[in-house]
Amino acid sequence: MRRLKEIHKIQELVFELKVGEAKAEKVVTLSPTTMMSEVRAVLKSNKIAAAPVIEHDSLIGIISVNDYINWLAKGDPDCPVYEKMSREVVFLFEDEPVVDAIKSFDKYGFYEFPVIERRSGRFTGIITRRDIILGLLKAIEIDYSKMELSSYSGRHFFNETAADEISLLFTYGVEGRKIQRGGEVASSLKRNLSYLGIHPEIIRRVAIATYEAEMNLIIYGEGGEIGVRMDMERINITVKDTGPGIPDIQKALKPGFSTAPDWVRELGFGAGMGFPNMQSCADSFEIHSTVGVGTTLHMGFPLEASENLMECNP
Amino acid sequence: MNDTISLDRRLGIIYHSAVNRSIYERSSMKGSLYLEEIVKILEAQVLLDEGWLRGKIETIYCSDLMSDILSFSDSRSLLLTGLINPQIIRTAEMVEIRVICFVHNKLPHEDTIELAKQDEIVLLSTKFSMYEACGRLYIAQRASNIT
Repeated sequence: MRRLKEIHKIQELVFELKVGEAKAEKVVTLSPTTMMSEVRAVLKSNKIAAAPVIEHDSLIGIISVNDYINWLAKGDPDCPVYEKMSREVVFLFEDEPVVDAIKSFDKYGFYEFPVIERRSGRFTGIITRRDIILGLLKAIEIDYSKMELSSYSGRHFFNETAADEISLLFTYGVEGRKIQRGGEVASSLKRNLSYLGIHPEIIRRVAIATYEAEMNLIIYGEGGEIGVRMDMERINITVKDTGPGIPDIQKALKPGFSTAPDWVRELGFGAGMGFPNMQSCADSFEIHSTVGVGTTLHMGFPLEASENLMECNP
Repeated sequence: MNDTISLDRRLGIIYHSAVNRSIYERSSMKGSLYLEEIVKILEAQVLLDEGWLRGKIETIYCSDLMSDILSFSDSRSLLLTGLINPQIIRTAEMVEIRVICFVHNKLPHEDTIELAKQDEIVLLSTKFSMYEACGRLYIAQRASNIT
């Protein structure tokens, strides 16, 4: 799936990316008065197959290894490149898409094309197959970093939806005692948030806190409801049960305090770290409980990860 | 239910409740190992692996307490545990643990494996106790850190 997307992206890019953006700007050029005997050294030391001949910023010809060999083969005396260069030069305009350049490489079999600014006719650089590949790679990279930044904000969903106030509400019912189903709510909430493009660190914090709350509902609360309300700024989670309630909330919030029965501890839960974990993940945490009536828990999370986002760790 | 809990799991509970948190944090160590190396070191049986993991394991943890696992923060990590119920997979999913190794020859139930498959978590099982498995990996990890 991902690979397919990348191919589509490159297909788009060969039309979007212009020759002028991909071309190499620092190129070796020759003046018309350069002597033929000097050409070999220039081509060799720069590892190039041809060099444009430039006079007053204008392209007047190109001298290639072929031209040089022909000159050697004929045994002609040394002369300025002006006399031996190819005058009929195939060039590309700056504003052409690179797909045209790719076609030209196939059509003419040249290694490079001079690039010309359409309006002024000025010579501005050279383009090779390598430049095209590098240009495409760079464009993809820029695109990806742009995509990553925008897709993690979660805001794009809201930005593209027209209304004065938007909020999303997810509600989940949790059955008591069914420990084998514990985690289903947190797991599906986690998936929903990642579909919405929320920042991974925020998802992680929400998932951990929800999972702890969900297990509490199953173990102590005899079931209940988890409501998640997401607006443009925040994710607010409300966890409600009509269970036995908590007699001493301060005590229950202490790390290590637990009233978990053995069967719960045997499964690895009930170490008395549930509330402390929730508190460290959420940036607002509130709990109300009445014995015999039930417990309500509110947790809040920012929608966007800030620079100095604390890890979900006490 | 009780007979499925081994001695080292009981010791694990005592250890974890007794040890101060800050010391506990140090029970994970940076130093990377490839999955294949880990399998070799632990002489482990691979219960589930469909090539989900690329690159190295950065962090190794051991715990038999869900809450402790939930307060881990590294995602490319390996968890050594004696817990084999499906909730261990749920817990690992929340913190994005990629590999779980069950110690003491423990084998998880079908539904645990099924859940791990959905979440693309690699499952291993080793005959070694938690203590020995940790010791072996600790030595290897330190060696990989030095080189």
